[in-house]
Amino acid sequence: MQQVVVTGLGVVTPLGHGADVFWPAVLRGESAFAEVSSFDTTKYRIHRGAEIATLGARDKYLSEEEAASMGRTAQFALVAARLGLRDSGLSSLDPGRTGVVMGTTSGEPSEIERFNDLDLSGDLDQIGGRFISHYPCNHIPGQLATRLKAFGGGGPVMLPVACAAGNCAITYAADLLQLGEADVMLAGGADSFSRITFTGFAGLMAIAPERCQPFDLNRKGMMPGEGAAFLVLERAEHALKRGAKIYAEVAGYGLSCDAFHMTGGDREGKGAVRAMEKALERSRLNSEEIDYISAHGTGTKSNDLHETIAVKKVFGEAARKVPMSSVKSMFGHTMGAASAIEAAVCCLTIEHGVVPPTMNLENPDPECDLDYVPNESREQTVDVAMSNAYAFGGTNASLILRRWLS
Amino acid sequence: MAITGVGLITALGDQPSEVHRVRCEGRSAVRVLDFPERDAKLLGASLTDFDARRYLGDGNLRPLNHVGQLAISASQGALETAGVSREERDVHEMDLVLGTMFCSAHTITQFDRKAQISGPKYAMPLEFANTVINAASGQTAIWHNLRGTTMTISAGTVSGLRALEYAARRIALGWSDQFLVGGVDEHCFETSWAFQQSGHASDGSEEASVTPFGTSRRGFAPGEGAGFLVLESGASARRRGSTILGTVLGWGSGYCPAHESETLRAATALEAIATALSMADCEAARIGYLSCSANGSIKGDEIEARVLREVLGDRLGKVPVAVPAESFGNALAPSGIFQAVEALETARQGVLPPFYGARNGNLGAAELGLSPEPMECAFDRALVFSCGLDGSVSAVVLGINS
Amino acid sequence: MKKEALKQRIREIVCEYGQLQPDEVGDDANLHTDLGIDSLSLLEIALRVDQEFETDFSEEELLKMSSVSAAAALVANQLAVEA
Repeated sequence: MQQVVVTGLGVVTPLGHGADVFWPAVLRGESAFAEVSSFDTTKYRIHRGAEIATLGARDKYLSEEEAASMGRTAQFALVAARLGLRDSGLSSLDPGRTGVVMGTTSGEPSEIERFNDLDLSGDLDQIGGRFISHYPCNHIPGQLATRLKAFGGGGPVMLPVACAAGNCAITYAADLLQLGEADVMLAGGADSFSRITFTGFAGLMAIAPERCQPFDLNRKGMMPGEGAAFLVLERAEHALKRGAKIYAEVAGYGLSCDAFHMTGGDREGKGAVRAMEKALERSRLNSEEIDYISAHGTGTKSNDLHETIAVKKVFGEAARKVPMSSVKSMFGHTMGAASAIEAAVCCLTIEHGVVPPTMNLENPDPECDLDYVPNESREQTVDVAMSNAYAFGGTNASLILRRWLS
Repeated sequence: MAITGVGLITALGDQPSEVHRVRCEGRSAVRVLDFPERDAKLLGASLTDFDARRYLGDGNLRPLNHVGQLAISASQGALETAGVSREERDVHEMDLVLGTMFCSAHTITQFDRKAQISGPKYAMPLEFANTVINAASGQTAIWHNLRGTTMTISAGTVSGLRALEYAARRIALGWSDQFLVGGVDEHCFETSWAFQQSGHASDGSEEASVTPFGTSRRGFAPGEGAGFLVLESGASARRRGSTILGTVLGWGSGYCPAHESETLRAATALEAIATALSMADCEAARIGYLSCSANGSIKGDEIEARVLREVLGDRLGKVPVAVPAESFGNALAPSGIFQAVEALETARQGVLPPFYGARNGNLGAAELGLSPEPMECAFDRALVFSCGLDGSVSAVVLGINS
Repeated sequence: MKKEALKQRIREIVCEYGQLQPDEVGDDANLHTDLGIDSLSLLEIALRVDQEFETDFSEEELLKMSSVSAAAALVANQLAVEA
């Protein structure tokens, strides 16, 4: 099986855009939580989240026409993809051999909001063509393919697998590269803040009032966020031939489904356990060889507990020694972008030899008693990192990235 | 790799043989649908008497929305015909991949609408769970205890064929030996209205306005349904002693932005077909049956007509060509699965359903040599392709067991 | 509305969301631990009761509807109905 490697990263996050801005902010433990400003939250019990206020200097990665015509999620995705391509050093792309695959939870929910806003004001006959062109969620990777001229790998595709989407996109890209159906794959995820998602999670009573506190005794839930991330993936030989910088190798991954409940995980974490075990098996690694785990760590009572149980089952005694942190503690749950951002985080831990903290961990929960790297980032050599993601609908995806050794 | 199970929920019936019979009678599910609360009449091909309890028994259907019920019912049929029992699935993880264009557009629109009208407090949690685009695959996995890979693929109307491609690729790579593959989309006011307003769907103002390839075509009629296959590696099929209904020999897909010319878009489709044929080690001349997704779309049908002419050359009119959307309307994601199932059933029955639009003296159809009457046929290589309205294209070469 | 009628209506809602028969739903049976209704369905039942009786309960109050009796008591209290 051909080795697949990561040669570029691009991130658009509530903590900043581009690894050069994002990574230092993460290591400093910055918080992106603030009062929601994109819609009125008066009727909700909770009012905070992690929105992206502006693209800042990175808005030069979006033309005026793109900013005017593309939906919010698509804009984030395009900027992240361009940042990733710039990082990879690929100056030109072969349109027939470069592909785009990504994930999302809601795609472009603003189109649903627009439909309803028009409907409720009696103007539905003004819907025009935009709903059909912009709402089907594969419109987003289609936009990327069109604007980046990347039509390979069988054409752009969306894997709307919610919170596990980024990891799934990476596995899809790896398959195509290994079969030789593409030479370069852009794999990532994106989602944008919306009243629909906010309402949904608020209705599940899953949103914390102030901030996200994964694994803390007093954790009160997740914080909704938004963003995008793309990894540039190639076969190792292709990367080496062009002298590319290699962040890490995709050592292996595991996919499973709880088949239990749409929004709640199986109490014993069996599905999560299987995903981790498959990832280790396919990477030909023992759990002791994992130096860092990027947790799903949403900050809900149940996820953090079940995730801890699952990690203990897989890692045994080693569970207490491997640092496991949740970057969601800093910028919330970016939904379909989350595991793509977290894969980028894993690459950066390998490159820089520092693991990011779980912020806001003030009171340890006796049932969550692992090393979550509380409140301060930590220098540590990371050769192998595991990233776990668990989605609505029960899909679990574990990804293992390993330092590239030539 | 082998197709060993089939499950359908379509506007023409839920058994491949029954659907084939209806198609041979030249009947269509396209009709005018009335939305009185909206003061709207829209052309569509929705299901008329779907009741999930017929397929799922007395289980708790409450958490399921329409699209979830469609997916679970059709996948039930595929698992049953493939003989994959509940006990087997409890022991051996089964993989699932579901293609969908919208999944729950109706549910998510209603969810937001209710929140806007009554306030966010009354947004129901389980309804939110059904708004996500992977809801149908999640519900299917829960109902049938599918604990392996559970993937959802969205690539517009070719999603069902892309799902088949995904499963075939995973099996080819050795990651899986058995996959439940499907496509599902529902008919609803929201998307039907939007299709019409965008000019993709016909307003039905003229009789022939939804005729595929028709010179007076004005767009398609949105449909719905679910189609599932069980796809297995050859080794798995032999080990289980499964009945092999057909084989997937090759696949190819591509993308050309929708705004590009018919010429460029047809070229992309032809490339995808060439990839599929090459993988299947099959020359175009060996193809004995084609199925296209032409559905009355003004631009789409022109593209598919060019593809047919190019692939068949002077065999145009001599090789059976199926146009299932004439009866199903544009069923969106499951269309490709319906096309594949019809290919297998047509080979089994030895009769090609007619293209009744040809009876209207429709120039387009006559040029393509489509038969207005059922036609006897025999073939062992079928090419199923689809050109989606967003520019995605997909092609699959099927082998028919003799 | 009398309290018995209140309980009856709440019982009907519980049966609908919990897929149960009325004679399975005792006044004081715990919806979660005795009747096996999952947490999301419990929330939906509470929201449905709240919407139907226009009681505008807080989140904490919604989570206190652990049985038909408990829910009826909360509603009655809010609406100050005759016992």
